[in-house]
Amino acid sequence: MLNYLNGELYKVFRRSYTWITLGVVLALEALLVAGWAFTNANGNTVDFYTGAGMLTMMLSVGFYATLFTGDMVFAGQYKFGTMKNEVSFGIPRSRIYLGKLLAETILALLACVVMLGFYLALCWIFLLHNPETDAAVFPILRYCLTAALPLWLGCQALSCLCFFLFKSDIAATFACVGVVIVVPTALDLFSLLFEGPVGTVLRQIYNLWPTTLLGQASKVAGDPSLLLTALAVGAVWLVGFTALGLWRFSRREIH
Amino acid sequence: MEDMVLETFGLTRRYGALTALDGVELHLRRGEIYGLVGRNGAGKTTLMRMVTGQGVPTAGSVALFGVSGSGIRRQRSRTGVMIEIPSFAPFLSARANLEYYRRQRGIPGKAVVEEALGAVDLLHTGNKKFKAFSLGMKQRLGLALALMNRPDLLILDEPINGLDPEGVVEFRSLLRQLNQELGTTILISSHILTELSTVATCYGFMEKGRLLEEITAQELHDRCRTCLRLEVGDAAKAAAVLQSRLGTDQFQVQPGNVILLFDHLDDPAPVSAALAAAGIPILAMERKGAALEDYFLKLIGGEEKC
Repeated sequence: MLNYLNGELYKVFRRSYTWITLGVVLALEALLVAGWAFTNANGNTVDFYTGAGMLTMMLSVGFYATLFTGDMVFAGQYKFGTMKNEVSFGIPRSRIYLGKLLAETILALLACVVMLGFYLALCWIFLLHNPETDAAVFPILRYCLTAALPLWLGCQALSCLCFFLFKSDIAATFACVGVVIVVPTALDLFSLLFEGPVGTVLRQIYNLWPTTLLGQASKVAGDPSLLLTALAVGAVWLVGFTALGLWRFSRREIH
Repeated sequence: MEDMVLETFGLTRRYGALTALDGVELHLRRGEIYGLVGRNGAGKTTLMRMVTGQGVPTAGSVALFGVSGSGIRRQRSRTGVMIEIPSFAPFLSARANLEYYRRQRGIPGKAVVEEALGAVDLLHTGNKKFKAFSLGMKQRLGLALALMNRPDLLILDEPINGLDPEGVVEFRSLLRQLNQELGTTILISSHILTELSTVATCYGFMEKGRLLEEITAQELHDRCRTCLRLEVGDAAKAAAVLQSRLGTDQFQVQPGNVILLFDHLDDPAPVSAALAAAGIPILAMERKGAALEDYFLKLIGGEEKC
């Protein structure tokens, strides 16, 4: 597995796509903070608490980011027909699947550290400081990130499944976005339309959807029950989608 | 030490109503160069895909180096494979692509990448991305990947597609070198059968998913007899002359006043003299050897030329 992981990470970090995407995100972060700093210079008072606190509202971006990390590692293997090079050498299909998922997770965590660190550093350097509120923002951030990580990981497993499942990367992207965004919207809508137990069940499922849980994180900061729910949901998604992906890929004809 | 490198037992693959492989029993021994011959859609690529694990057989099994079942996966690391069009990450150079697979496969030593590139004359490609490669360069890189782990068995599907004439000669020489110096066993398919006949030591003929026959190159040579092809004014009269004056019945009369004579191959002068004396004009006379194509066409029920 270490050899496989070594190869995957080598490929990912040799891609200009990886570095360009990271560069664009960092540039956008810099632009946002620069905008605030500019307004501060003209009488506004955006402080570190406000800037860093914005992160709690942008956590759902992490769901979409899993599509990028999934795509960077999977690298169109069906489209370019490169999967046969791995299978024909006798690399177990389970190692191929889990190796890619692990590489995606490592890449996602590294990108997360770089992007969050860069953003917080910019906010710290360029925004106003208030010792009382500065200290208050870190526990909230820590709580929200702790809730977000297992949910992001579950979503990474979904993204990995979609790239392995669909021949087309575009179809995989649509399927993944559909499950993350469209399904909870539909659940929300139908739970309002149906009364009685059906409506209740739909509402319960909606409440346990990663996007819903993450949306609540900043509002209930400090509540351990949400952390436990997020951990459980993330684990169910990770195990469920990975098991489904392994099963499907083990029977797949490679062209 | 296992003598049988690759063996298939009733290998069958169905896609719905279509039977792409039908009970194939292939036998490839150590040190052989096995030429797989068949028309488009005969099942050659499907067979190779089943052997390399890219597809799952509907029935039957494969044994590599004497190992079948779940243990076969480990044996696949002793093979080098190039099936259909070589596929690589288009955004990486030749060197980076090979380095990626070297790391992924756990092949020790970076030097193997340079060796493989050198073997197929791709050392000069620098940072040029795979997507900018010509078909010939892609074929060469595919071969480099197949050779990188110094395989005991090479499986090559249409490997000379896209190679220029010089590349074909180099490729042929490389195959012979691998086979003779390193003892690499090779399974190779090609549409260019004359090319195949220059390297293969045995053949398997496929048609409609079935392996019709396996023979050695020597057996094929014995079966494909060399002949004199005579195009004459009157084949019936010429046949009578050959029998009466030359005392031979080693000939076949074919449509279009053509006679295939299997006698007097080294000394055709008495033939032309006898026919001329009988007043039968000889419109053409040539020495002809039956080629691999002819034998194959005969085997699948097509027209036999000689």
